[in-house]
Amino acid sequence: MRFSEPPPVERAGKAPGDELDTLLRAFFQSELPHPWPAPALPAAEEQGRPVVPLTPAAAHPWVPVRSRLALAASVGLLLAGSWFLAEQFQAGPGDPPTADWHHPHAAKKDLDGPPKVIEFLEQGEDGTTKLRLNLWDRR
Amino acid sequence: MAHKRQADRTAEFEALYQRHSREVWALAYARWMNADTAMDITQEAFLRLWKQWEDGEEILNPRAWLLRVARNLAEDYAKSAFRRNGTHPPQTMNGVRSHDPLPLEQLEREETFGQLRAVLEQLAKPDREILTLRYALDYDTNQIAEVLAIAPTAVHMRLSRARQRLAERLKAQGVGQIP
Repeated sequence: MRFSEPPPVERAGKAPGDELDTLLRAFFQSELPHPWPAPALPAAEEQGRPVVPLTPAAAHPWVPVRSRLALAASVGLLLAGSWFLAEQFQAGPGDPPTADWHHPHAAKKDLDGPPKVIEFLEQGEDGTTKLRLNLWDRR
Repeated sequence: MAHKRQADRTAEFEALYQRHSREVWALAYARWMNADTAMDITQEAFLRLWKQWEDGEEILNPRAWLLRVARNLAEDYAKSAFRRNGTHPPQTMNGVRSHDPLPLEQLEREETFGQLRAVLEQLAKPDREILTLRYALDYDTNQIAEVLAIAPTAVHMRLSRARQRLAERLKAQGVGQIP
């Protein structure tokens, strides 16, 4: 006995196996992503790799200017230091240095202050080292 | 030295992804019946595996770890900002795949798939899991048993019952074959 087209209820109840398998396979296969995506690996910095900026100069435009300013400041300090030392030696070897020698009342302050003491180390003829103290009393 | 270790770890990670990402996807898909959500969960699960490695954590069984994390992530997805912010849940998009006009046969196919999806969503999650593994990944009984950590006989029984329940519901709705 053959049926050209079985009733829908009979068909679904009679042979669910193959049809259901085909339907389910087609459905689930259509749901699977095609193509299968690659893994989303963490960012480079999280993997411990060094991160190199693409345009470091553009990213930090102030860096060269800052280094040049630092260089200029260093040269300026060097020149000022040289000038300061030169001024110190021009005061003369016999004159004792004063702490406030640019001050207009410096001379008076020196006269009013205690006597200046300069220490010298001298090597005697017998090879001994002596300490010599020179006292300046401006009064 | 450190560079080589990093390369080895990346290679191992990619190998794990190739071997197990479909299984992870299948479990997440079975929870939400949404392919994109399942892929997001899959990627997140693997990302967490990588971070565990970065933190120096040893994972003895990465496959079991990934499947467990994917299940947890899929459950947590219900509380995520994506759904809280009012985005339509996946089930409201049944059968909607494209805005392009489709040929009649394709439309009928999409309609059938939409009905099937609606019926699948009415099934219990274990039923959907076993059906997804069987028909999306073409896994046999033993492979399904490994993923679900159950005996092969239990797989056979569950699969049979899931198919029976599905067939009954499809029959009730007059859905039987692909157009």
